[in-house]
Amino acid sequence: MNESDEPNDYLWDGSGSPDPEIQRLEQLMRPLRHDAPLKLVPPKRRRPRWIVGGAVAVAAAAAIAIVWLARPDKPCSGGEGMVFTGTGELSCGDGRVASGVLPIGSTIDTGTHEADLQIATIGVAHLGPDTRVRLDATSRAGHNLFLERGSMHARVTAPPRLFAITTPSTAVTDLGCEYEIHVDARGAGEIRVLSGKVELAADAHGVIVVAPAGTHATIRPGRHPSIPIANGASDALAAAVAAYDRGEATAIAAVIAAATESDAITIANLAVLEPANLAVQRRLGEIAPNRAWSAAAVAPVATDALGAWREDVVAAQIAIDALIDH
Amino acid sequence: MVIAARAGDRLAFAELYRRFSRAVHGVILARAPFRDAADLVQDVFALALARLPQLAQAEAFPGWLLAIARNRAIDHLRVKKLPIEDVDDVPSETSGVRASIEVQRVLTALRALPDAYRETLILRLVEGLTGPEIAAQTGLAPGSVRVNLHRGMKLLREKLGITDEEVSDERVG
Repeated sequence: MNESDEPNDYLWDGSGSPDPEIQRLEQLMRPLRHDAPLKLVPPKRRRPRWIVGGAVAVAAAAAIAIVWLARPDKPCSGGEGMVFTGTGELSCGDGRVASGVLPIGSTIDTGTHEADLQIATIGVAHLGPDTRVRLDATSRAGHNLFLERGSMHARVTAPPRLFAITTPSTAVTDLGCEYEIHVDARGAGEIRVLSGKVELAADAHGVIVVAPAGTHATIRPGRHPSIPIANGASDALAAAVAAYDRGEATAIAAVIAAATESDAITIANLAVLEPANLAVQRRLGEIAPNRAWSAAAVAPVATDALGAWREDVVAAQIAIDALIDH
Repeated sequence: MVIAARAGDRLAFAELYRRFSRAVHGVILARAPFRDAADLVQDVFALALARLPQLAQAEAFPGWLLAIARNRAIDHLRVKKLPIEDVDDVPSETSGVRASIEVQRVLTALRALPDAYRETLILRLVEGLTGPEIAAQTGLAPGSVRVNLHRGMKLLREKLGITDEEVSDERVG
């Protein structure tokens, strides 16, 4: 073998006459080649106090639970449920208490106060004033809350899909993250994702969008969840997305025109919702190139590949959001 | 690209992953079991993401990233208490039972090469990078990569029992 700069050097750059033995080795070893997309778990944010505090809070909540279990004559004082601590007396079931255990099937209403609701050992939901929440399920299989109205700040450190919040119009499935959500009495509101990602779905519409850290989405009564947009997106993009959500015919072109390189998450979700629209994929290919897409493509990318493409964009959004000092 | 990622560009980090993930995988595969390598790649990029603000010079990124990869792979082996020569990890579903035995034999031979040669050859033969791409993604001088490839290939042929005559015969045939 020649180590000099000979022009015919298959080992160096694949040029010249192929070396059969090197070709055989390349073919043999190719199945070991790395081809996986970026799948970063939500990076550890600089909040060690919360992690430590969370453990302490869980222990404290367990202690509270034991105390209340020993007082079965109080409302919301025992049985299976979620431990809560309020800043004052809250409505829980048929009674009023400052802290206790929210039983499965019961509703808590914070009124003028606020409360922390322990989501077993996986996280905490902070409830704002005038918030009504029903506990639908809590077990090893999962924890489900129904947010009838009000605001909630949820922080969860658990495998994806263990925690879900349902609102009158949308189901929010936690994929391992922190987010703020509020809905009014009509079921309209917004979700802002602070870390990780969530999946938004409306059963009646079969529409699922993925909102990662640094984005927000509108929750609308009787309609599917809106496409998420990055915090700081232009007013033009927000208006175009709103028009799309209203079903306006020219909205897709407006979203494409308004989207910049920072808006890949919006276009990626739009591409999944509009899988036959080549123009949407072309724009996504421009601002978030992917192996699934070729600029010369004349047919839309397959649905599975579109989902994977969106996951790549979601991962990038999460990764970069972690670098931003909020 | 590195500066853009550090500054908060939402796509730059994903682009860094696209460009360097195979190099990271190759460096890890030179030291750690194949079954763990993909997860370790994710670990390396998570670590890199967290430490990116500490990287003073963007041009040092390739060498810096691969240094993280080497450390992560070494730590992994240390925790598993496995000497790399005992690692037998290529699943048969990857390429069939017979082929997997041969893949394992070649991988073992590659791992037995000196450090510089085994990394460079794994990047070439497993990850499919060309010499110029290896140079760009490792931060090595192109001349060094070329030498590593040729010397490493010579040693690999010896370890696999491939004679120069066999190679010549295949070329003629």
